[in-house]
Amino acid sequence: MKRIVFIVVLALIAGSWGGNLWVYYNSQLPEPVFFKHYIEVENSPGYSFDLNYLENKSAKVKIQSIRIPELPNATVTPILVQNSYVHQNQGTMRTQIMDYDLLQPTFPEDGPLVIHRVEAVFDDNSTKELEIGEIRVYNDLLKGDSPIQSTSGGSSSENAGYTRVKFTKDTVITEISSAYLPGLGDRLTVILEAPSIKHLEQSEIQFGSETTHSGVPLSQIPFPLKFKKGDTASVTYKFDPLQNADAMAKSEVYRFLLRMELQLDNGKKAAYPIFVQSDPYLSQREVAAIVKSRRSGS
Amino acid sequence: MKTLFYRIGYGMVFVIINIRVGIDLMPNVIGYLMILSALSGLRKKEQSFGMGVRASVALSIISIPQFFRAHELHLNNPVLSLNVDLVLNLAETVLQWVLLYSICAGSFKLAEIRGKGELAASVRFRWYFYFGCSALYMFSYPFILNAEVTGLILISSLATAIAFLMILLVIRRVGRELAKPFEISV
Repeated sequence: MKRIVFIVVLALIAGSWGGNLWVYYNSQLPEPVFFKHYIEVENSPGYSFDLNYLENKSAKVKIQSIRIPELPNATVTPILVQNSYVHQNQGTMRTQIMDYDLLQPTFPEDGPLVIHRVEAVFDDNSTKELEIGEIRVYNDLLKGDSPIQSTSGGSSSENAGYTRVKFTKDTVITEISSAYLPGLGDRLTVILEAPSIKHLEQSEIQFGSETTHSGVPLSQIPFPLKFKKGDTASVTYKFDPLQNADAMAKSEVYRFLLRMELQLDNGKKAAYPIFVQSDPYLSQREVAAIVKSRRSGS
Repeated sequence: MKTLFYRIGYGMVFVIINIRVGIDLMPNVIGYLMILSALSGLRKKEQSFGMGVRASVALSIISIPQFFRAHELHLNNPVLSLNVDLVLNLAETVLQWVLLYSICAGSFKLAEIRGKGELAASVRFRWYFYFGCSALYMFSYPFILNAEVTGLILISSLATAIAFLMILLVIRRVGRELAKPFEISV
């Protein structure tokens, strides 16, 4: 065999090793990263939320669980590999509010308890505080007798959902709001279908492949709206798929509550929560973009 | 001469078979020393074997740690870093190429001198096949870090082992054929 062939083959192999090692080391996250979450939850048993994160598959120490010191009544169920990518795994920390008998969180006097960081617990028992976005925990959402009964609801993989309700008493909806609605702008469409606003211009949301929901966009509803006992209404939402946004924006997780502020005939006030959820599924390219952005320190 | 070629074959058996019970029961170092001893004898007949002598000395030294601890590349844990195991593994592969090239080149020349063209061609083909398969394996292995190439690595690894066995068998055949007295055709 000619020496040149041997040298060329050796050069190709050296190039393959060098190139692959270079790509590999440049595809590693400096540390695990939680997606940016926007979560609203009631401090009530059964309420739960997921916190998603990315970490390197080959990390020497991996996240085993998380602790949320502000929520002593929460239990965490780790799902260590929810989605698998070339160099990273996406894990999920499923967090559930437990029994009232447990130690309860301390709420500020005005407004909800707001949490921005969690304590990640690694498999070598070390811990590190990591940013998770924002969790707002309410303590007063379900106070009072609700004049509303949920009759059906659903959500789709296209980050859309609906809730249909029935009124059990004469009620007035004074407002539908959320802390996160103003920041979302056009990214979230919410429509309300109700008997008293049938005459207004209706918008449509495609829900799944066959169903279309119609209603009046939230910004055009002339609150307050009166409902009689036995009336029904439905709220439908859909998130914009964000075709042109960057990967960090696409990784944002929303699970918040649209609060229907209610006023009953006897003057009492109540609120009814409607869940709005957007869980991203990231492509390999989007994960690579997140890694690149983290490595560059932005 | 037959004994020397057979010794190379037995040495190659030690190299390719690993029975590990804490330590390697078929130590590579013994295999390389057997090959070294055989090539030292064969070098006197054909100088192409000289390159193999030097390669088998180096292989004997770097395979001593393997007697106590395996340092194979693992498909299920593709975390590669520039550590001693990785460097030893790469060095062993390159030295094995030199060794097998030397054995095949020397055998090819001896077979040609004796007018055994078909045997010489078989030796050369098997060397090309081994070199191609092991080069493909070494080229594709690091892609496991960044892509799903397990199938290609397994196939090239299996093909390399088969090619190694093919060389082992042809070397024994070279020993048998060259041991026969010259046949002069008139």
